[in-house]
Amino acid sequence: MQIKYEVPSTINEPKRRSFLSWVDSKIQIILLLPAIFLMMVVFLYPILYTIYLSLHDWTFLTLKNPPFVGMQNILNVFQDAGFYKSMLLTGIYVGAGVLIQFILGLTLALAVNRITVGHGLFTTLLVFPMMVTPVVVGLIWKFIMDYNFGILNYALTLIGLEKVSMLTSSTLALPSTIMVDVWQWTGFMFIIFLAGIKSLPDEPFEAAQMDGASVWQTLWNVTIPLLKPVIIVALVMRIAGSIKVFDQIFVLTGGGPGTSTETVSILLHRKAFADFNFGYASAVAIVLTIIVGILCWFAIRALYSEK
Amino acid sequence: MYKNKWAYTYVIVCLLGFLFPIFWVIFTSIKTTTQAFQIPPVWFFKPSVENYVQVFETQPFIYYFLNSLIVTVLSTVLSLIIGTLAGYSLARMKMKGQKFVSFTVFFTKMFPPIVLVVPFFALFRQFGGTDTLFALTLSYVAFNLPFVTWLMWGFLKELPESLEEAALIDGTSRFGAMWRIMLPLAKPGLAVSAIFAAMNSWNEFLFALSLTGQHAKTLPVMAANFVTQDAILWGPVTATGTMLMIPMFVFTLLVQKHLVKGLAMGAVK
Repeated sequence: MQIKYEVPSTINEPKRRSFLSWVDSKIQIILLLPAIFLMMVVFLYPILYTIYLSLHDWTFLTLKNPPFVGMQNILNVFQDAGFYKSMLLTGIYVGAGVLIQFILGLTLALAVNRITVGHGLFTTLLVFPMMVTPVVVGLIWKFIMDYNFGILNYALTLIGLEKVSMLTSSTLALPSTIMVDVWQWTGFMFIIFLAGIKSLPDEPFEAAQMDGASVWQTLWNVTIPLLKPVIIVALVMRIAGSIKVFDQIFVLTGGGPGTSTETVSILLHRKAFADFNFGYASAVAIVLTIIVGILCWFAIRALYSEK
Repeated sequence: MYKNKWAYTYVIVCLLGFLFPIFWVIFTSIKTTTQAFQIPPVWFFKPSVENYVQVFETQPFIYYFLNSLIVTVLSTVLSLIIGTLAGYSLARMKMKGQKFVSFTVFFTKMFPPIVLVVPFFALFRQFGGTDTLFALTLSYVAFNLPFVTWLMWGFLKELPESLEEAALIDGTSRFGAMWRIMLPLAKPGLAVSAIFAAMNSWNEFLFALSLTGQHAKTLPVMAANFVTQDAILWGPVTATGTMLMIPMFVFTLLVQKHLVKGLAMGAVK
């Protein structure tokens, strides 16, 4: 049997509910409203509009009255070898780039953490590349990697090697763009790892030292396991950032030579703004959104299971 | 010490690799055109401002600079205000569907901007508003807002709720407690949010390229415009690149203390 306790309403609520007290009681929803409104305008509506676009044969020829084609654009995406290739290239770009950034970022963070003199200066200088405008990053490296007057090729000849066409050869162009990504974003991994290492407790390290663990043993058995949540955050953020990449590749190679550096972003941009095939581009956008959504779901699960 | 010597060597070698391209672009920007292409490179020369003069003479640099500045400041301030309110609300709210909200924020944070370019372009064409600073500001807020919300959410969650409760008991309104107690404590989080939002907006290229024509063009688009069909005007490119980098470096130096602290407390947790 349940006993109901009647609480006199006068205790819970003031007799005169002023507007301000109403605001105060609903404050948490009210504070969210501007963000919700804005996200509806800039995300939800455009996404719905993308779905609408993808259902039509929307090109420059049919701009005024695009015919409804249903799922045709989506089906075309899945039958397009170019799309699969761009997915593969994106996968390689993201996988290789993030892995190298991870290794460099972690080792740098460990090294800087040991350093006492110039600690702050090193930290600031290492994050400089990530502050450089991605377009400028692309342009800088295009200049440095040029076959004829690039300093990198000059350096190769200095150490007795042959010049290579880094951006115009279909085998070297992708590794070159990955190298540029590594250059720009290692600082991000580094600073997150440094922050993580600094917040670690001292005791496990002292214990490891007492047990006579070597530097490597300490790294594998103490540092990395303790850093795991930080590592997951850093990896998730960099993978997401790397999937998005557009500017550098656009400037460096424009997706070429041929389609050897055409990641999904570049493909989508080409379909939309060079071929003016908005219907197809929208279909690619939807597929990409779904893939990113699935990745996010896994990422969220990984993040939550660490907390 | 033996171990630290290795640490120093490793960091310095990496640092040289990371800083050389930046040095090289600044170094090239003060060379004359002939010097810039010389191989082996010229290391000693009389600095020239030729390239900078060319940028200012051929392009309305100041105008584009102001465009970049206005869009950066507006979108940063807007996303900071709205994102902090939302982050605060999420940090203190206990409600159903919190997981869904967190997924949505996360998803929008991870969202590839290229996906939104096509509908934005089509929509702004339909309703007018392409080539305006408004369109750019709106799209930058779209990408900064989830990030700021996410960061402030994580950050404010770490601050003890009892502080506000004490203020509430003392008779402050919820808003007063937030403004006077929480925000001053959340300064490092706000600083990091501001850094990243400003950096994103200042550096943004894709939307600026697709949504602007002549009127609302920003500096990154101007830099890319020196890449023409026939040739790349390397002199003006390096000069513009240098001018685009300098404000960010100054900014980084000013806020570098907050950078590590804020990331440690906000993004990492």
